[in-house]
Amino acid sequence: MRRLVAVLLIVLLGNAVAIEAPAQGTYNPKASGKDYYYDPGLKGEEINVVLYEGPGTEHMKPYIPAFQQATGIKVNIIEIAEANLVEKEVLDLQSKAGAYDIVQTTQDGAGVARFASAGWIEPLSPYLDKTPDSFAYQSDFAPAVRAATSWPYRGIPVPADAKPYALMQELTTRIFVYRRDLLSDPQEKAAFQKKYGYALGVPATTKQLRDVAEFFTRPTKGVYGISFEGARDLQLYAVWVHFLWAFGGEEWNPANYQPTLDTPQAVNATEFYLALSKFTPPGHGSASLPEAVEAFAQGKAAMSIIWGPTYGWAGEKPKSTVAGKVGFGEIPGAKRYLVAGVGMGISKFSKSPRKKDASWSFISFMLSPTVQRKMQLDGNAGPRLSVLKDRAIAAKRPAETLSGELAATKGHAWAMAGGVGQQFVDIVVTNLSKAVAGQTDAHGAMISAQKETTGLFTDAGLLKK
Amino acid sequence: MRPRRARPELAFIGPANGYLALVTLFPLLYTAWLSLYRWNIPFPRHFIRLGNYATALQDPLFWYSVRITLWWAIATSVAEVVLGLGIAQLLNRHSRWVHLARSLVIVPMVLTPVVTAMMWRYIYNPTLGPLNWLLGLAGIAPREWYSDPATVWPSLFLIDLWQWTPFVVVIVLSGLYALPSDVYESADIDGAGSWSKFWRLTLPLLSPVLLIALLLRLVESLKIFDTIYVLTRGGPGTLTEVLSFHIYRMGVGERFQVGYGASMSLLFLVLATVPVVILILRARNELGLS
Repeated sequence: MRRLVAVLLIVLLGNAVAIEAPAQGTYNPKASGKDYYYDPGLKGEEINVVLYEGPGTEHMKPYIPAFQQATGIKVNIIEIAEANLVEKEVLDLQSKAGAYDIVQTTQDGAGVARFASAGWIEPLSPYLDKTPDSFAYQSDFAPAVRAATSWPYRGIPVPADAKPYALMQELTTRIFVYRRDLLSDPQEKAAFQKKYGYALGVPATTKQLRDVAEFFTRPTKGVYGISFEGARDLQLYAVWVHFLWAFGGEEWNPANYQPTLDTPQAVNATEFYLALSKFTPPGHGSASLPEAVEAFAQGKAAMSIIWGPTYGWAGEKPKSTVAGKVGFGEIPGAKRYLVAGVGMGISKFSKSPRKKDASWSFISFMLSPTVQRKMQLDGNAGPRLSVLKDRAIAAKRPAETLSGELAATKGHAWAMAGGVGQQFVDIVVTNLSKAVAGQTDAHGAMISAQKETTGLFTDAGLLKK
Repeated sequence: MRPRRARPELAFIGPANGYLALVTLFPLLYTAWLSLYRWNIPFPRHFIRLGNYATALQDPLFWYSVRITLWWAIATSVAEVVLGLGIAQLLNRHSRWVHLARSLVIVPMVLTPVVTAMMWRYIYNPTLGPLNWLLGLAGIAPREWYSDPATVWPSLFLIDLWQWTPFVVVIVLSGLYALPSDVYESADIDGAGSWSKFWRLTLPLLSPVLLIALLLRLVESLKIFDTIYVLTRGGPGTLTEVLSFHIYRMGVGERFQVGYGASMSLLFLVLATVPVVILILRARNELGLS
């Protein structure tokens, strides 16, 4: 009898344990019923996540405790200033130290291209394969977005041999913002009509943009036509490249990686950039993102070209003094939009497969439809089409939604030139900055950039000698 | 056969020298080794002998960086020593207010260069900064202090003077306290004026101290990085791309050309060592050391 009771107890206990925690190997994460990768076997794991100090990270932070509670995975966040992030990551990855389990990919796809081409981050296909279908990677991430986080890159659609290496948690393009009150003022309209011979309105072409910027530049009143970045950093490139594409130019020939910066289109685009710079507030040469947005928010510029997620800063209370008077739309004359995003990938040098799985659990949780929807309502600019199409969110965050839609429909990846995309950008920026400072002219800047980038691509083996 | 002499001193100096070799010699040798490779992360490295040095010596931007770095170091260190000497003279007296001034004068020196640069970045801000606001009250048009090629160097110069002149003041003040009073008493008896005492007594007696101050400032000024990084990032254009920032940008900041960056670092070391050695030899003579 005692034996029978003991056997029964063992069987009952065994069943209870099986119900409480599924045995390793039999658990199927794909059938977890969640919209992210969840494996109870990862409970107790600890991961280090390196993120940039910025809005994308701030939007994620409130959901980290929820993730830890839901999965039992401990997350250590290491925040680094964006200017120093790549340097720290590269040093860790190059040395294979494995200090970070999740690395941040900035300037997607330059960041993705650099890390993926070097073999420093894991392809995400095997991880996506074991994630529930409700995650909907293929259907809910636009081709331009998937292309910008996949490698190799050969434009859109994503080529068959390309694999995803990162997921963008923050997706953005530039948008155009303007002062509705100024552009619709009857007196201004009459004066503009008299001076330029056509009606004042929201500019639709590069010529109109220049005219309107010139018209509203009134230094004696402390008001200028337009604000955008002129400092020597990658934001300068992010503005200029839209003009390059608007004037019909390309950074390089996608067929053979021959740089095309000395073309008439590139020179014209640079001349246009420099001409427009004359209508910016004082300090254009040192204006980076904060200064450019702040100038508009403080009512010192009639127009601006900003990143979608900074719309709240530029045009909404309490940060903006021109709140309620701001309109937004596409950049005049733009044909393509730079898809810039901040994403997350799994380090190849993460200490164990379990840590990599835990890392994927974290990434997929943050990118899950449920969390993305909540983040978007908080003002994040996420990549999911279903979230962008949500009417409630679009009504609350229209500018960020436009930014996401532009990325999905007219997006173009950021300098995805193997491991040298960032160097390409730096060369262009340095030469543009020389032109902004008057050290050279548009033609000289582009000739110099052409020569340097040709050398860069040749050395990197992208361009055949 | 002579018995081997015991060398107990080696046991005492060995660990210290070993530590020094580890922290000084190893990085230097590693940098020298790296400089012989073309190593553009993430690509594999290739041995190219002195190719990186040849590239650097043919690069106009490298030479421009060398020129402006030398110019910067000489101009700021000389100006700070001259100014520091003047301020120290003013503070070399006994009064309650002078004691307070002596305490306040060292405040800028205590701040880290990054904090200082951030603070001045705000002061110089063309639209929101207090400097242009003050000038506006006087009817002077606003300036783009650190983005205009005409004003960027004076703006940087002012920051350096503000932060590091106090360092010279402290050194010179300690030198002034150590000067023998009997020499001045004799000069007073002989009827020497203040100016005469300064030229004929103070300056010659202080010259070793001034030389040390100049040497220390010169070494520090050659390494200027933080202020450039925060304020101009080498801009506008490449106007303020001093050598340390150029090496950083090419080596790890933007281009990740590690081997090339290493070769320029060694060239920088040579560049920095030459004037320093000259000054050290001069200081030895002044101090009468062998």
